[in-house]
Amino acid sequence: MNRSLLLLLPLACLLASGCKSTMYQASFHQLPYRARLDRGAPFLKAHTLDGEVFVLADWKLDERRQRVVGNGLRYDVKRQVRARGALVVPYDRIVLLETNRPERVSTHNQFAAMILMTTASLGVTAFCLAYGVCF
Amino acid sequence: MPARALLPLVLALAACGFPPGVLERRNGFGGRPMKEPPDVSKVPVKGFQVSVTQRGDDDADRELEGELLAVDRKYVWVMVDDEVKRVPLPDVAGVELELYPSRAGWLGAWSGVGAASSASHGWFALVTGPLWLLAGVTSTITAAWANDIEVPLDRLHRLAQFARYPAGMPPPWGPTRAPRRSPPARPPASRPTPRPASQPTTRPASQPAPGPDEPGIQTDEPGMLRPPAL
Repeated sequence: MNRSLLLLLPLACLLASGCKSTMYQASFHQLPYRARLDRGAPFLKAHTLDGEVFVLADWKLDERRQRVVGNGLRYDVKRQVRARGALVVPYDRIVLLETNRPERVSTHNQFAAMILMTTASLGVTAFCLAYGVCF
Repeated sequence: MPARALLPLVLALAACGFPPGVLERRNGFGGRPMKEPPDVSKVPVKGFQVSVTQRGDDDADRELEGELLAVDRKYVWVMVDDEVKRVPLPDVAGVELELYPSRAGWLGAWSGVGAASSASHGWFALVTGPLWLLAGVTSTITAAWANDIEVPLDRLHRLAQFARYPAGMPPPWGPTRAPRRSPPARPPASRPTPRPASQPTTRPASQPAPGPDEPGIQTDEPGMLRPPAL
């Protein structure tokens, strides 16, 4: 029985990984207040006046040329990808800047309970099969 | 074993749910920062799912479920089945915000299979069968509600942080931002440009200064981020 329980461990680990979700901390700043941006955030979203959004990694503000540069994707108003790669967003297109930091959040603790229940249930099944005293 | 199994089950279920503080996205969600950030293409660009209850004229409430598009001074905008709907703020009777998919369907199916499998337990099924049902139903129900937060009606404007367009609705659906009345006046055809930091906003004397709880995305610093002007 112990061996069968050990075999269940990878399954439990796999299911347990489904108990977490990636969520994004976000801070918003209008362009005039860009000095307060979270410069260490891995992602920057530049929302434009016409509803597009640029999602950039490795981003930086190019104050001399009044623009944001980075690598990422440009989505249109319907959130279809329109461009990817090295992107440049002039300041005069931007209505709002948003920095994002990803975090792993425990969101499905119920899965842990179900894994426990499944493990116990399979243990009982294994016991019944091994000793034949359940029927 | 079943009795021992119940304690972690209860503890695990009791740990579900988010505090109301998550309405401020800058506070994060209480998770652990990721050392290796995901690919940039994984960063979500759509709004969170919401359920908006609208007061009807005949006292019959109507519920709109869909993606949150924007929140401005007049409306909550929601995408319902590829159609843009707006609900006037005074008509909003309640809003539920879904922070992540519940996966309650998975848990329900899992519970069903688990309960059926207790047939292999022989006489022990008299105990394990009900236990499966108890654990399954409890897990499914808590999963269904633990991912939602009820938004207080006096905090509706904070919802903009969860919207696809946090700065307000863009022109294709009709601009919700009219030309600013503050000088310098621009010709109607010109595209609005962001206000420089040094330029103060002026408003009619009768209009009160924006408070910290005005609609739209704001930070804790007054004037740092203003709601879309109408």
